[in-house]
Amino acid sequence: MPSITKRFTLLPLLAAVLVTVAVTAVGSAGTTKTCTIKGTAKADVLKGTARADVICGLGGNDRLTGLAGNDTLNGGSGNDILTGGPGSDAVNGETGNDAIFAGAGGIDRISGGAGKDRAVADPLDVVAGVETIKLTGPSLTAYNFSGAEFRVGSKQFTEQLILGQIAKQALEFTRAKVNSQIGLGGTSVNRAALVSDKIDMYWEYTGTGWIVHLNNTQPINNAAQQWEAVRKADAANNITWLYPGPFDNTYAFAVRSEAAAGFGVKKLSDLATLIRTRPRDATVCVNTEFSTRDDGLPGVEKHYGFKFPNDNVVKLETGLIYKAIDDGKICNFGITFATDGRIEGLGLTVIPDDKQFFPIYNPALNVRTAVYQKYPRLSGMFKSIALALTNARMQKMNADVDIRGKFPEEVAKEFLAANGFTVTKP
Amino acid sequence: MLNYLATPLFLTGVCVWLYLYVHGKELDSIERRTLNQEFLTEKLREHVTLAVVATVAVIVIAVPLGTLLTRPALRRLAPLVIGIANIGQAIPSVGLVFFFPVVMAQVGFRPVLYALVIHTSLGVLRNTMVGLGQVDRNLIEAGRGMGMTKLRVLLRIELPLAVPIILAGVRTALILNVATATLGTFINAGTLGDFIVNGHDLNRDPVLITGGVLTAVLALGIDWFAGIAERVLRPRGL
Repeated sequence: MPSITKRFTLLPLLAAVLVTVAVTAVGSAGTTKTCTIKGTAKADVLKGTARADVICGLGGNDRLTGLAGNDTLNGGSGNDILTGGPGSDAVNGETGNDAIFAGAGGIDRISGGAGKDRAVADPLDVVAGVETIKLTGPSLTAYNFSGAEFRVGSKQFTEQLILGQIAKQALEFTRAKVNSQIGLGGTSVNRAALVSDKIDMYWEYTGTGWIVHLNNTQPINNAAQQWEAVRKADAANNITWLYPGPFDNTYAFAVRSEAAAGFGVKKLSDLATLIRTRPRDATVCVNTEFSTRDDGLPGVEKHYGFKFPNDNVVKLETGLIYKAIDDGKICNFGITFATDGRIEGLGLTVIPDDKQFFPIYNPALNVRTAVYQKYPRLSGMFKSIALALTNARMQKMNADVDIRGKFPEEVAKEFLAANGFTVTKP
Repeated sequence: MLNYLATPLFLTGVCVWLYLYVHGKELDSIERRTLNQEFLTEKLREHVTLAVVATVAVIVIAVPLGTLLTRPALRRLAPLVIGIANIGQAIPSVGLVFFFPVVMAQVGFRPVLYALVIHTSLGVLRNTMVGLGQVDRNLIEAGRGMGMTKLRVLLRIELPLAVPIILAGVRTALILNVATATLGTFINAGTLGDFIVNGHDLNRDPVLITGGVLTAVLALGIDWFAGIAERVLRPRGL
């Protein structure tokens, strides 16, 4: 009997291994076939064209150069030297101790493969399997705002303090003078200060701009379109929305990790079952704002087709919600912000929004249009900074402050340096 | 007569203005979730209940305590008790409201009630002591001379003469409670604070103004009632 059970558990595993081997074999055969420029088993020097090339070094210590275009470079075995050049390249060192140069812009995908590999990469490149990485980075040395003075505001919570510091330190690096109004007040205070010419800029979220400031009730469920919409509408208010960053500080339901499995709620739509079968456990903490927004609780309930029992909805101040979920005495579930450091710090589990209901809250620097017109290069500068603000990076920075006790100043400084912005020499 | 009617007339005027202002607006779905009869009634009820229960609790606690502390046997303890009450009032009310949820994982009506009582006891306690302290010693002596017991002197002479000052303290506590009850919104006790915080966070002026104006109207209205009560309860001839 035990042997049969064993065989049955082994079977799928065996199948999985076979499929993997097959896919890998077909895949590698495919790449060899599609090579537009192919080397030999010995040491080759191969150069691409201005178009998208697929260059394969095969054996030997090869030297591959992609030049312009979105190239794919495969080093093959041997200690190869691969240079991606401009464009978003895919650079694969494969076996051997390879040296990869993937600077020169674009968002490159770098894979070192086996061996001790070294790489020079842009901060936004995706790097894997490389032992030593050196970031070149879009240094802000290209910008010089000496003589300019900017008043930088921010809201009062951790993420905003960090973002405010990033803007302040980046501008100071470009020799501008900065009048710091970081931690000025809440959302409406910053907006009022910006409109009434008391500050020049602060980071706002696209969803907030659309629903709170521009008084819409329905969000737009596409990041680029949502940004485009606020940018257009706010032009009339003399506010310029600079390019947004990729992180999304949207609403997220969370539950304490120890209890997550017990409730059987792996995704948001599972809440319907919990409410039906164990209504007493389906308690939820929200803030008063979330309880009345179209993109808040009323919308979630409508979109997912469930309704929390009235007595199970506890309205708390936002900051209290995290602790309440962690305790599990006041409520089992609660609304949190997706990039908040306390999710990691308190060991909360975020419940995936499987039917994609929540709006998009991408960060973008809001600048008074008069200031932007005087210093249009702010746009390019903050585009590269915003692009480096990914979900993972923002969560880590928030946790650095909230959990690990660092100062927002330090965290912002580290971010700017680690991503190459304040590096004076490549 | 005009003195009695001026306040209610003014407050009615404010309410009429508020009604016209809100009705003159095209309300969006977010505003309609709070600016409706049902929600408003519920929040008003929560608010008034909290403020009134808290004030009654304060009277029940602070008046007897203040009386006891002016008796010769317990007078030594007065500085200690006043000191504790001082701390209660010195702590910011927001801090008191947040204390119970954070430390004891309690939310809703009760923790807000505790916070209000702690926050507003001092005024009534101190006014009770001051009111009893300023009673003319000769009147007390005269009462004793007429053969009244100490308790009778307290009930027939001291307390009636202290009523105006005690009531002044109660009125202050009542208004403070009406205003501070708005903080209940942060810990699931509802109240008109729901309108204020919601309107502020979502930048919906009609909601914010409704919450703010109604809280002020409520405080002034209750104060007006308390003023009438004060006149009725005040001993004749004073």
